[in-house]
Amino acid sequence: MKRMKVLLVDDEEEFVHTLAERLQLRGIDALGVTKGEEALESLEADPPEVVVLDVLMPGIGGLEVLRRIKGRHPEIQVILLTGRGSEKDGMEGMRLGAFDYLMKPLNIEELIKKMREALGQDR
Amino acid sequence: MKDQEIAYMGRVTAGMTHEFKNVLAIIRESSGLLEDLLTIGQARSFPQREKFLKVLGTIQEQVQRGVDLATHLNRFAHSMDEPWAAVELNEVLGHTLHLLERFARIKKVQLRLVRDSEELIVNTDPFRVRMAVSLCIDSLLETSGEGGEIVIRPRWEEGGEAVLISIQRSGASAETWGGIPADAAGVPGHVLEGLRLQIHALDDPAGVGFVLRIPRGHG
Repeated sequence: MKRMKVLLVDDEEEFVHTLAERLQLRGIDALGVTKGEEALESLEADPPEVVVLDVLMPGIGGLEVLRRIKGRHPEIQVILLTGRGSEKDGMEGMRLGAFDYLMKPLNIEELIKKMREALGQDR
Repeated sequence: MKDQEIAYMGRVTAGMTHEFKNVLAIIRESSGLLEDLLTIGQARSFPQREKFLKVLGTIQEQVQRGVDLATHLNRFAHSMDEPWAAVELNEVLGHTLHLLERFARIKKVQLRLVRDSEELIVNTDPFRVRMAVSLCIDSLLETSGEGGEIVIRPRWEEGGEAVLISIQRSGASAETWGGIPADAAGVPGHVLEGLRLQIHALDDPAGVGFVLRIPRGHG
């Protein structure tokens, strides 16, 4: 079976690289970056199937990154990461085309389930 | 305190809870990675594997405890966002009780919320309504002995013009009850007026306490 290809974007470096390693251990091709700008460059060079994107980041924020992804690559599925109490951002993200949003801290199995759902692999 | 000052406090507290959750997220992923390496990686023959897995399990449990605490604190902080808003009282009471659990535990008292099956949406001051409920519970904790429980039961008043919240203490030693006047809750007058909140003393064989009447209000 083809490996799922995921780009993780979060300004917390330890978080994003550790999560990428955990996903790789589960057979998922995951790359972590810590800036919105870096994410946009990375997906032009090597587009993933799913982007897991933090909403609150310095520089280009998550919702702006989402807007640009959906403008150029509408086929890429985006799952947003928000804090509890920030559901408004999650809802706004879904209005802008995100597949769904999850709360931090994450449950890794829930994240994988959500990514599979986004790619229609849940059946 | 003025609305602007309350909103500022809320904003700072909410920001800190977000940062706190980022810290917990890193701890969760780091301990999760160690667990993965011991279970799905190459380290199955690691000599202290079982001990490590047990300790990692404890870390994960405590991370979850921290997440729950931060979530309730975050909700509390966001209650200060708006001086007047539509709130669902079953939910508000649930979060408020979590924040008071520590004080109740010290007095060996159980806090129990009996949620109403209906949605109890009122337009009110989300922060001050929490404060009024907390002060009523605090006064019941302070004026009676250890043990027993405090049961919080919200419901619509007949006619649906207000929500009634009964806060009743039972099971503490009888000599320490002594009857509690409604003003013993210590809710400041301007809060009562601002919320158009009424507090009545409740004294029946099942236990002492208060009934709060919160008008449905308008948006």
